[in-house]
Amino acid sequence: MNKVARKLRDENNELELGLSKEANDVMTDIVVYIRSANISDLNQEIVRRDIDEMLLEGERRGQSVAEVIGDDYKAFCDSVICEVPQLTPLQRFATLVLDALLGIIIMLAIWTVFAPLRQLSSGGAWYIVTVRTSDLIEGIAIIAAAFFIVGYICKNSFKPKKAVFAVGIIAIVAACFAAFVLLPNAVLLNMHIGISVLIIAVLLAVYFVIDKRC
Amino acid sequence: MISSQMLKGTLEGCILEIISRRETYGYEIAETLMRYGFGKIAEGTIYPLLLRLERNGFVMTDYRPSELGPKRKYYRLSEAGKTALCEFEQSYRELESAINQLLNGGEENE
Repeated sequence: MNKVARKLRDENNELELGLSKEANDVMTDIVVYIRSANISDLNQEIVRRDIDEMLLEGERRGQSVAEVIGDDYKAFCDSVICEVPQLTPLQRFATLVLDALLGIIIMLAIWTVFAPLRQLSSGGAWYIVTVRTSDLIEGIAIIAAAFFIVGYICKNSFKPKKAVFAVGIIAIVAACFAAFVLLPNAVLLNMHIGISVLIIAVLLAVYFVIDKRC
Repeated sequence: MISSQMLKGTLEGCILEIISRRETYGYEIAETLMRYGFGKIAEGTIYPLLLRLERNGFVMTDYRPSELGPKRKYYRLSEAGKTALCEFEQSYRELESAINQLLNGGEENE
């Protein structure tokens, strides 16, 4: 997220503190739904600001959320999203790369942090990070499940929360089961923990560079 | 009550006309439409149309302090918007003439 979008996001967070609970709940669903749209972070925050302003002024006039934006919040969001410039295929690809990169960095960090414990418990050297086939499969499955869960939650933010929560739990369980079904434990690579930390630092730097440009 | 299907084709042009009279904002546009007999139109219905007009370069926007709290988004007509408004007026007059002729049992045009 670039600087302008980040600044606007912070301003919007402040604005929404002035909304009633009812409007805030609706606004949360709207923001989550808009996050799934194929529009830039900046345009998401611009739309968010405009809707915040409409709802805040509407409340001061004594209007409910439905009186300001209509009964069908999803239809309202869809009509707004289709009037905002869409991301180009290249921009969309960059966003996917960013999200996947963040997932990979987190998985690498988890492996690195827990590596000494695993090594010590198996009698190995604490400074060696061992990546096994099962680690890789679990990592891919968890990242894929995370993508699916976030995408599903965003697209269905106006649906009853229990249904969305249930799907999320099922997705996590399915991902873990899929990961554990394939049990090969062949060692893919052993590396010094310092190299692992270095790789994480490099990937983080790449992430921030791409994020600033997006 | 005017049907939503009929409104769909003309609302944008009507909004352009309102904006051409003076700089204005979403709620005021909705109120103006209601005063002219368009019925109660929610600001949420107007907002996507305003986004479209802005995307097409027909209106320009800026934010100004408002007495009701957050900064308010004001819209004004651009040169392209003035042209679009003229085209809308011309199309509407042609349509109005054709429909009146039809409904009043007039002669078909050759």
